[in-house]
Amino acid sequence: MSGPHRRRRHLSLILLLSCVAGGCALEPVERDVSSFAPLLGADTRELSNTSPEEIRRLRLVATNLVAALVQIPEARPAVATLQVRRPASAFGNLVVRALEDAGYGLQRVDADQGRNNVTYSQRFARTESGPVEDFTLSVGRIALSREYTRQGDNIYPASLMTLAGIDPIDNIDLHDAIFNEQGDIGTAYISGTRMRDGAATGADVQTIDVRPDDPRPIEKRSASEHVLASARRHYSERASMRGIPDLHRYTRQGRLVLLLDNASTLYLGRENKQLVRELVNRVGKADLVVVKACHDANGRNEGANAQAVRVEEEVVAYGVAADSVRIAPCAGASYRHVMSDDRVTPVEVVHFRRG
Amino acid sequence: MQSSHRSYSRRFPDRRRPLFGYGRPVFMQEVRLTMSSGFTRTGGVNASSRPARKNRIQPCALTLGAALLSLSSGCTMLKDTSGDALAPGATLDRIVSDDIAVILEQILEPRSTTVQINRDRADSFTEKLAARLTDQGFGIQRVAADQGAHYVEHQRDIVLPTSGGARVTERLTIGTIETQREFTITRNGTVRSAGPLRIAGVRISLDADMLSKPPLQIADPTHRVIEYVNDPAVEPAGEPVREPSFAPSFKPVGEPAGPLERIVTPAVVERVAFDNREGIDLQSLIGSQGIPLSEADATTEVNNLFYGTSAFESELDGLERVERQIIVFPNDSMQLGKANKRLVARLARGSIQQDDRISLVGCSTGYTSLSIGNEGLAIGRAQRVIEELTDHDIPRQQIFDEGCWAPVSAGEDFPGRGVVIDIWRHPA
Repeated sequence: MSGPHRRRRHLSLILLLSCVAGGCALEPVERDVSSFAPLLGADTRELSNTSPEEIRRLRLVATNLVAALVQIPEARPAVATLQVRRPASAFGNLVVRALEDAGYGLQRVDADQGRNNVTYSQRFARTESGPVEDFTLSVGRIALSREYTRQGDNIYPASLMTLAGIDPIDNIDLHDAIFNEQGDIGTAYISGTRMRDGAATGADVQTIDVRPDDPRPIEKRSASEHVLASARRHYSERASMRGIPDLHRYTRQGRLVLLLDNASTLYLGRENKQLVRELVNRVGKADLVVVKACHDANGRNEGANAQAVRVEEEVVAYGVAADSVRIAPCAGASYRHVMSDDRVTPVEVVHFRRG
Repeated sequence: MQSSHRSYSRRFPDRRRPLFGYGRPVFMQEVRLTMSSGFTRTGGVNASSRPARKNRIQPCALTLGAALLSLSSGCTMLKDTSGDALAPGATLDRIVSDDIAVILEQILEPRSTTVQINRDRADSFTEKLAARLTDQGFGIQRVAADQGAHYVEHQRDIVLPTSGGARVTERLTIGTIETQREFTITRNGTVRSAGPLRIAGVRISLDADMLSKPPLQIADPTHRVIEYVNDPAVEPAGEPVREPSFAPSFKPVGEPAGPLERIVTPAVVERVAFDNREGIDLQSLIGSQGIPLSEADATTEVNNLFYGTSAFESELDGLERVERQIIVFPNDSMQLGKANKRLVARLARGSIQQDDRISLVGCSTGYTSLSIGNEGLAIGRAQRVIEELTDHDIPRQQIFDEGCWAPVSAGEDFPGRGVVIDIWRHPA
């Protein structure tokens, strides 16, 4: 036998042995579920046993509910650590992963411990309009529920989202457009919120039609984490529009200028974090902290807004009441010089005391 | 012992350097890569660094590849009885994560504490740490940046001595708590202590008996104690050149509690100086707001008196100056020195009264060889004096600081390298 042939046989033998040693030929290959399984405490077997199509549908529902949750002031990720049990269903796994993606701190519990204990359910019903599935997500006393209906391989909302345990909120962005991306042109569904007792939230109720330009191939549909990030941004933008109280009633106690590495980073770095900690130590209950980032030159200020939100969340993370921290709107100014993306960018934090 | 000192860690930008001061933390993902490259290369590097003998190396490489394939495919035959993979990194991961969990449990209440871990880090250490802390009852928040009060940073530096084995330095930061420990890993994969656990950022005494459990082998009984450190790397003998970077939150156990935190670190001073030098327009940031915050906001962060008048004139209106002291710094230095410290202490204890205002002008004029420039020096010197005053319980809000910097002399108006302290008081 010639040299090359012998080497090839040698190679084949080694590869065969290594496969046997590794057991790769003897065990069934488990589907990779890491992209949607919880980062911690996943039940991968449950997910592996669920079809990719079903996972896609359930993920849409989980994203829809969690995207609404992050916009509820008392349940936003910056202020709430949630208690979750190890998920035992595909939907549970996807809810937990969505909560992680939304930025919630999660505590594992083995019962219903905790003020923000998470529960969820998926119920099936046959109604006069056909079969529907009723999904509920609860965090402590807050509950969000909505009915969904299947259409072919896809799933669409079949009711308004019902809110309970909170004051009516009229500006939750449900991000229902994620359902339109599935296809089924001409399908219509209802979008909006209502309170559990039937009261209106003040939000618009709309009928959404799936239009010809809505469907997208799977690989181009909105990623769950992007939808959740968008929901958080929506909340922050809304929060910044609450306005700032009359500052004549306050006296300025101190001001920090945090310097971030560049115009797009959300990393504060050790020194900035230390400065925030120092500031927070001096903030009293009735005090006000105003965050302002204003470095974009295009008038949209998106990068600066994201940095302001990041700083606001940092202040809240150190224990300042979320209501006491405001993001100051940035008025566009043509005289402000244009900053390149890689230059150090300032975010201003001003501490006010009432009286 | 000769050592190759190949460090496989990558470096953070300045902003995220560790408080211990010698090196910078590395993203955990990078640490994982470091571990795998560090430990698998101990044999592999030697083998492949020999003179090339193609015919023999090819089958060797194939065999090595096959072995790696077996490991990566989850082969249980090549695992030890404790369940750890053969790579000693797994044992080290377990030791470090166990110890930090024990430490945190003593300092923080798990049920009311959430620890932030970067979501992009999915290496084995991160996962072990997250799982361990979860078991302890801590909340885990996966974050996209460095959010939160208990954000985790980890750095693993590996040195591979030519004599074999490895020396590993583990640094772990969780919020203000920092730990560091050195380990040696023997050729047979045993992990041994190479020093005691060093910890900063805590103000309680920790129970050392709960640490350093097997599989860690304690090489020396002195390694069983916990060393409470104050960052020797940045505080050399004699007068400190700059503040210990984590003095803010740490006092060795038994020492009287001082102020918990300082406002400005040297790095911040440098950045402010950099900011001024590079021309970021803080004035525009302040003045462009649709809703003006307050009149006081219409000042720059640090007013340069070389070019104008004091921004605090209105604040000092009606007050009379009762004392002036000038603190002179060494050339190109922010070191206060013992004599100046005594001077500040005397002012704080003897001269300054409760309702006084302290006007403070940090100066640096003329040539400087420092990269931070006159601005950095002026601001840094002022901050240094502010820190000293606040250390003596002078409220920060009593102090109005400004600067005076220029590449040329300010004549007799301001000192070239000093801080002017004026004490202002309501007339009796």
